Amino acid sequence: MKILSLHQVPSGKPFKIIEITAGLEARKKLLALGIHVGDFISKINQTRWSPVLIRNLTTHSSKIAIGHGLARKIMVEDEQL
Amino acid sequence: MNSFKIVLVGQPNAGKSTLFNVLSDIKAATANFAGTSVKIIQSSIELQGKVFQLLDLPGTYSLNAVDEAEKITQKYLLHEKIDLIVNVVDSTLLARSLELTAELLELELPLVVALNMQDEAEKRGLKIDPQKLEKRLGVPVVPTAALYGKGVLQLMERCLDKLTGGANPQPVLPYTAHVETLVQKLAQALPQTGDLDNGSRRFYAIKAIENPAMVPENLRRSLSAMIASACLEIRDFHHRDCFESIAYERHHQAMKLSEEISSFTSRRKAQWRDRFDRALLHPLFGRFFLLGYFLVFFSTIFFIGNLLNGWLAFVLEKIPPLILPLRNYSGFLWLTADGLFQGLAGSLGIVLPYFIPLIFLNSLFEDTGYLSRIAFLLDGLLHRIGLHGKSVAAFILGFGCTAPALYATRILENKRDRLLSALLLPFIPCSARHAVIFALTAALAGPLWALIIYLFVLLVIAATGKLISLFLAKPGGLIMEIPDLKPPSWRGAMVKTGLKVKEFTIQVIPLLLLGSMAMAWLGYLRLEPLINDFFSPLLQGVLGLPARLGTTLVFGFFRKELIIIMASQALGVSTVSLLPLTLSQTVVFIVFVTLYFPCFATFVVMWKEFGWKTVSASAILSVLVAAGSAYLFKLLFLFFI
Repeated sequence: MKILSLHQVPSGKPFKIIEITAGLEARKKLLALGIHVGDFISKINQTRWSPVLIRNLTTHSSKIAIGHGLARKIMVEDEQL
Repeated sequence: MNSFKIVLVGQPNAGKSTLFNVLSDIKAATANFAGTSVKIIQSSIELQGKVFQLLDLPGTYSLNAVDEAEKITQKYLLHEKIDLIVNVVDSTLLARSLELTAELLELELPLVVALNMQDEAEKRGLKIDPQKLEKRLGVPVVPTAALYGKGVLQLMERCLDKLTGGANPQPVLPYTAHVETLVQKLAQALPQTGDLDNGSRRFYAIKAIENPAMVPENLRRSLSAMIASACLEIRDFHHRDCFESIAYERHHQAMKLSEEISSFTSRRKAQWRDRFDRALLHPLFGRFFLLGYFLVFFSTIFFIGNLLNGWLAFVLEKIPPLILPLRNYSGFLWLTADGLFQGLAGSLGIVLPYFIPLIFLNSLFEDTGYLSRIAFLLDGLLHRIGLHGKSVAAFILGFGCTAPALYATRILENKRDRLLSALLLPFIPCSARHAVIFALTAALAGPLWALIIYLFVLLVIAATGKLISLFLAKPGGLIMEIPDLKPPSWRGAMVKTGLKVKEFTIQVIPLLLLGSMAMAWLGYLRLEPLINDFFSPLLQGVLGLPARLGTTLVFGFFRKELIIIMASQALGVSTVSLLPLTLSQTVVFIVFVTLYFPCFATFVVMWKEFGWKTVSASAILSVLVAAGSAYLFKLLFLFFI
């Protein structure tokens, strides 16, 4: 089990959010959009020129786009569902 | 007072505006972009002989507002007199939507839940039991499909029952034992709810822990020691921020609730939509598609506009000979009638032909959710000019009209992004300026020049954004929801276009007629030269344009359409194609008027939303940018073309 940032992990695989180290405002917004510590998420795609696109597998959310800076502050671990 | 006030509250994109449209005659602009309704929209409806005030509040994820649009909803819910809240719940996002429901219950105002898009949720394999939810929440729950008007009547009947049925004690969803004890202790310590507008003591006790800024200061001060100790306890016990502790508690309430009342069945949803969406969001294919989309979008407006313009011109040119006899009768009357005709010819023959296809295409694509995909794809590009993808919604709206686009900046979380977007928005050509660009290029320069001018304007926006952002802090990070794709609705787009055209005909065309009559009177009173002399150093001296166009600039401040309507009037010709302008003058003039000054409506909205400093900055900035850009084109023509 390795802890990585959301920015580093490959697309298409489920990961569990372990910690979000961003500031309060960003954490508020993530919570409002239904992204919580402990949720399983999967990355849809990520390129240099567009934000990181994820989907929350736990709450079956719509897609959420997250800026690269913030994606570096979302720590996830590789754990099979 | 026999009119009840009902407010619609829900998360962005839950279908509030659609429901509102069904319930009332007023059509609020809906779009499948999280946060399109950013203003409170109101309408009166009548049911069983009773009159209701129905209000559509901006979408909000929770009552702990993070952006301006959410703040409006939060403020309204706390401080206005409300008889009933209709909580519109997006069934496809059940668990997340119920978090807001749980929070609204804490307000302890009469509540009815509209379980919207239940059919769509079922297609995706989520079967919800509304009766069970009703039992668990203790408030009426009505399944609706607002898009097809299903369940709307039942919803209103339940609302009526609730309103006339007398006050039942509203149930609460308890927190876990530890937090619940603290909340109750704080609630008891709070004074009676006399000076709290809405919201119970329990509500303010929870907010004191979760988001103290929402609690009135005198209350907070009197209980500050107690609040602080409660927070410390929670932090020790839960190892989390107070804010997060409550948010997670609510999340678990909602998750538990949604698991109890729903079950998973097989998916019946078409897979192709998912696959198509993946292609739209694909870094390479998605951008090609976007480029194609923009090209098709603008060339459609250009060609359909020209087509309509040609047909109407054919009809309209039959009128002038009819009013000519007036000339011998009274010079003043003839000039007035001629001014009226010019206004009519301009509004119907030039402005509407481009307005209609623009509004139609915008309406068609608004509800599909493509707007948020554009925001996603352009985020990287916008970072280069100091913004991020979320501003795209405002910019795209700006292609229609700048004033609503300024309101749309309310979905941006931080002031800096709002300010920068507001300063750049007046440069985006609005429907009036599309008419100026398209009609003038079609008549005197050719479609290629329209393309060049659009590209140049985008370049100007980029450069200005880059320049301004050098003086501002770095942009904040992006967090944005991308709602599911919906197929475009031709009927919906047609209805919306019809309404917009009607609004334009009633509100704007009279102004345009009045404007061109005023122009005729100025000519009659020989006041024109005064205005033209004022502008001639810039227009004639620097840009090499006829000084007589000066008056059009003044009128253009009121309505930008008047520029194109009056240009022929000012230069004494009957139609645009006869304007005595060279290619270089035409292009220089278009560039200048596209950028030159915010219009009156923009001015007012910007003043209200951002204050006089921003308006002044915007005005000065646009004059400088417009003069600079037009001069650049003049030099280009001088040396290269």
